[in-house]
Amino acid sequence: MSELSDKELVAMFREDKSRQQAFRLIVNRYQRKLYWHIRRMLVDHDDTDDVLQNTFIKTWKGLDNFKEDAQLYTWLYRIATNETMSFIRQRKSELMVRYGDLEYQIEDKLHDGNNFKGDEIQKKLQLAIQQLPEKQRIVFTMKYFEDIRYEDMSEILDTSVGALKASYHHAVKKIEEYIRNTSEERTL
Amino acid sequence: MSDERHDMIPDNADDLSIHAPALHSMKGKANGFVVPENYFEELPDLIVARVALPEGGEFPVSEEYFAESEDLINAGVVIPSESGFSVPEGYFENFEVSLEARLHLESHLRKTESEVPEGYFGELERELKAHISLDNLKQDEGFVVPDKYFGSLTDRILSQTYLSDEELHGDELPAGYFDSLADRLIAKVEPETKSETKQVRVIVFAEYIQRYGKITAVAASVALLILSVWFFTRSNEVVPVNDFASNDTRVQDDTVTVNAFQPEERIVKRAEPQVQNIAKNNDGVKPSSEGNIKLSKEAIMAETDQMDEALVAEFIYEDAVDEQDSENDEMIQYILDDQTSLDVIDPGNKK
Repeated sequence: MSELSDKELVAMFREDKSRQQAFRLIVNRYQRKLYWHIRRMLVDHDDTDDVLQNTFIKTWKGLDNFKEDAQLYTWLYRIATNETMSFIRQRKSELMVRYGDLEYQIEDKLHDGNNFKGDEIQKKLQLAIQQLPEKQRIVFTMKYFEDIRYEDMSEILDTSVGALKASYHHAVKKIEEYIRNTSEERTL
Repeated sequence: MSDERHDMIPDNADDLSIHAPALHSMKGKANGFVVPENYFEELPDLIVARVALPEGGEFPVSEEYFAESEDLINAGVVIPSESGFSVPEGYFENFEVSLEARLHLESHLRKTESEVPEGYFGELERELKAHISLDNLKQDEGFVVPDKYFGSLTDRILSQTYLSDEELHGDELPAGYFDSLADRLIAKVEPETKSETKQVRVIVFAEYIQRYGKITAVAASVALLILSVWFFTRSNEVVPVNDFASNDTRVQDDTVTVNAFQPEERIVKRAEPQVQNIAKNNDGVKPSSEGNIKLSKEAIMAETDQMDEALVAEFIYEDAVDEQDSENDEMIQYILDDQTSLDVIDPGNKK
């Protein structure tokens, strides 16, 4: 049996008898991509799991209204990105009162062996990503790690391709400079 | 992002090997994040389970469930209601009959209620209250029990009923234990007794009688004889003056004594010779069956022409001397010999 396309899965979902089956296939197909998309933003697994489940639940609720001319995966990424950003804003509002800066909390999680077991270069990269502004961070992770095309990214983020390219370019330069500087400090 | 100067971005901006060699070298490698084992394998089921729950958190019910339920209803099988409670079979069919029976029973109970003896319920209430009070009293009689008393009671009782090894293992006593017990006890006691007190000689009375019985009997007989002589000789002694302080003067056996403190009467016992003389001159004065005669002081004075009652005794004395042939001559002589007896009457007026 050949793999069903996203359109076929959406069509299956709209049939009552095949709704759960179609939904299960959609989850299986995109869970890893969406998980890493969220995880690179939040670092913590439990936070990622909460956001990912909420993403799929909203997918279940809104898939009946999904426009067939759109792409399923960009729609899923849009939901996941919005959920992630909502989570970050909500967490920031809580941390501002309780703990302070969210970025420091994320950095602490990178030093936690239960969340991150990469080498020094990998950790340095993640720390550099955390230094980026929120929107650059999203563009960089989607382009660098997931190889999402700018056109799709434009659809997901509702941003022009040129703006995404510029954002990605600036993000790359900042990260490269961060890695170079931290490496020079160590050699000195 | 619109404010970013994307018009200045070079065409080969995505070529990391040119603009970001470090990032280029890391691209495509593992990111280092830790993911729980089997997370992705279990996630679809978890997501499906969550999305399958209707709003409000109720459990989903499949179409097959309702179809099966309809078949069961048609077959007359009582199935759990929507609330999850089950109803006994035939409950609703028999409900009307059960209700009529219940109403009939309650009506009957109301009728028979008047047949209860008068005051029954009032008495019942008092009995119940008394019973309840007794129950409460049984539970807590107002006594104060020390804290943890019952908790330690068993241990304290057991400690008081402690049995020695011999009592616990009576059949394991050494052979001849009781036979030698007395000797061992004496051996233990004897040194202590010698050191603390003088040695005590134990005399067994039976052995003493057997050994000294004859001598003792002779001694007892002699002592009894001596006591008898003493007793009879003692009766003739004159009681000292002070011993008569408050007693009547009387005649003891053959001894004539006169009470010095009751002048109105003189009691003469067994002194018949003198008494008879007095009685001859005093009408109405007769001796009793025991020979006692009560003589008034006036009678004696009249007979003896003595005005002083203190001399009445002398009358008796003198009268006794004159009548030597009386039956009590010896006794009167004894009185005469012992002048002290007259001192009893009036020592100061003795002639």
